[in-house]
Amino acid sequence: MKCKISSSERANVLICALCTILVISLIGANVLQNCTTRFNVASSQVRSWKESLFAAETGGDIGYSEIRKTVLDPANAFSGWSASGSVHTSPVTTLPGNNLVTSSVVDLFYYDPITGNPWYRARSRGTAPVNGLRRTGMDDRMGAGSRGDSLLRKIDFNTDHFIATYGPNGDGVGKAIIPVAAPQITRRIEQISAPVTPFEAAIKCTGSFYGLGSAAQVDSYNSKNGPYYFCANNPADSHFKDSRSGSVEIGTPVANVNGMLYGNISTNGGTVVPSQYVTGTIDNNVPFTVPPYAMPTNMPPAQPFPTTVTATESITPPAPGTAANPTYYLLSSLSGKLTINPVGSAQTYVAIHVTNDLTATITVKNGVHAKIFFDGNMDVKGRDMDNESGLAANLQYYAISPPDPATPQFIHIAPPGNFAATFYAPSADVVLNGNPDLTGAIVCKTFYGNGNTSWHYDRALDTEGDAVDYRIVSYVEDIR
Amino acid sequence: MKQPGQRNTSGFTLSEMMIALAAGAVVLGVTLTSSTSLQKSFNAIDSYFATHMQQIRIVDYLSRDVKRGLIVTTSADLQTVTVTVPNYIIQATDPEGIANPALVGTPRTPTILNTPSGPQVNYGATTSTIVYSINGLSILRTENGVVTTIASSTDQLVPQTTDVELANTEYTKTSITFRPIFTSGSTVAQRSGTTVYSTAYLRNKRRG
Repeated sequence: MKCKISSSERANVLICALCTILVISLIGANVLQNCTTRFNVASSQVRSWKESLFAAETGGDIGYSEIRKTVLDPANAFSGWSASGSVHTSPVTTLPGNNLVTSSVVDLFYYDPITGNPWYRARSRGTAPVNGLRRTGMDDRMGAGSRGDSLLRKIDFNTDHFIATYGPNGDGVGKAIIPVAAPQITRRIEQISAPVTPFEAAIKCTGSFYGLGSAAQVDSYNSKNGPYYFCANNPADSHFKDSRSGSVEIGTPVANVNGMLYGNISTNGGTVVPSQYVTGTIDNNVPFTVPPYAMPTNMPPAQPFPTTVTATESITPPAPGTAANPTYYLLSSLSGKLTINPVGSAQTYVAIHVTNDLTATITVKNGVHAKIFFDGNMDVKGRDMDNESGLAANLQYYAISPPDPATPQFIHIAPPGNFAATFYAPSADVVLNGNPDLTGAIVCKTFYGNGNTSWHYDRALDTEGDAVDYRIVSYVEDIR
Repeated sequence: MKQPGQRNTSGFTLSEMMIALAAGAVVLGVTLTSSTSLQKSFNAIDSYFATHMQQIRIVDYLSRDVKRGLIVTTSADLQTVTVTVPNYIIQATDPEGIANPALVGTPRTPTILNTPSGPQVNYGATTSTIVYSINGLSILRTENGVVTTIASSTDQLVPQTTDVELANTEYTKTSITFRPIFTSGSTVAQRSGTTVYSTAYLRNKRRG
């Protein structure tokens, strides 16, 4: 007998199947939801947090590049930025790819009292969009009083929390509720750029080196400890530690080193012989370059008189000035005899720019700190550099690099005469003849010296001289 | 012959019922077992990824602090990292904050100090100290005495700080591991499989 099953009793299996599917689906949905949350954190929020730092550091690099231009390419420094006093603000830059946004504010916040070189602070911010849903998805399952991810990574979902809480510059001024178009993370860093001064060695040349005489010697002392005396062969002397820094740095393999060298020597692939005359280390694998030197653009207005010196001239500045703000003279010719006097007993700072060759005798009286910039060549005798203090830092020569790198430039120093001075001439071929006793340092393109010179590098020069580059010396992140 | 008025009744035989019950029991058992296994698996996966996120958080915390650090030292047992960072923000207890409360919460302008080893950038007269340490299954970050639990289930933090004086470089390499909750077999192998490595360089090198 065939039994007919009622239609109302057929759903048992279907209901069981649906329940099973529901249970499994709920588990699956739960897994999916949690995985999505983790994925959201891992792929979007952590990534954005890291990328915003990359963007901020890119802004810092852009600012650093402009800071370097203040000495390497002054005419184009901060081009396209807006300026207010010594504060420069960059345009907002959107980096291709992930829509990262960065901007920087660079301000001159400090002048070195000895050299007058400016220090710069670059405050940069980088913003990265947070993709995905407008919700946190952060892992806040920490102990009591702690908040997991949200304590570390701060996401702006609707408004910029930093501007709302601390103001746009972080100083509490100008707090405002600023909506954001989409979720984003912003990080802020502050970098300090310090000037690099040029005289780190007794002689530094990017090209060939020959010298000095076979009976010459290069040693060092520190003028902060008093006048020079020879102690490089006396370890018991209290100033012995300052006596063996008469170093030579050569940027090519062409190195003919003669004479006794109380210091280190480095070449770029050269061979230093005889090495027994070098007391320090010999490193033949030190490549380096020295960029051309441009006339600084931060000089004050030039004095009206004199504008040329072709005979005997004596100048006394109207004010002592400072290292950062010296009394400035612009001369079309300097071929006579120039004496620079201090203002009373005050330390007096003078800068002279000669737009031609330099052949003059310059007498720098005690208490005067003189910087001589020249566009052409220099051809003098040792006695023409009359630096009464005996401190090399008080008479600094700077050879402005010719606009065309192929244009030759030279510095010739002939006998007689001893002198104390420094030379920064990265484009000049330097020839030093005679047997002078000299105190100072030189940076040049090529160096040739055949005399039995006694060369004393003053270790105080390590922090002297005009800035020739910048380096980042401090890094701070504003973690608020 | 069908009687008039008789209802159309039907039923299952005993054997049908027993087969149906057996089949139902099997299906229910499979469902329950699967659900339990899936739930355990989900818990394990969830725990694994959650702990992995904690690893990433530790790395991000350490990287941020080491980058802005002035001095970083690692304990001899490689279980504690101490980072000295500049006091960038003026606090209420700082001399500037006491003298002028309006400055509290604002960034400092750095000062420059010339030292025998070169100029030094200072944010205030003092610095802050941050210590990363392990407490049971938790990793703690202590900044000026304020403790934050930054991870609650990672139990191994192995930092190592290297100072290359010749290159004026210092960096901290860190490996972080945890033991997954579904471990079976070799625990060591299970733990090593969770290792996350990171390297962070000091941006501010300050010796001594």
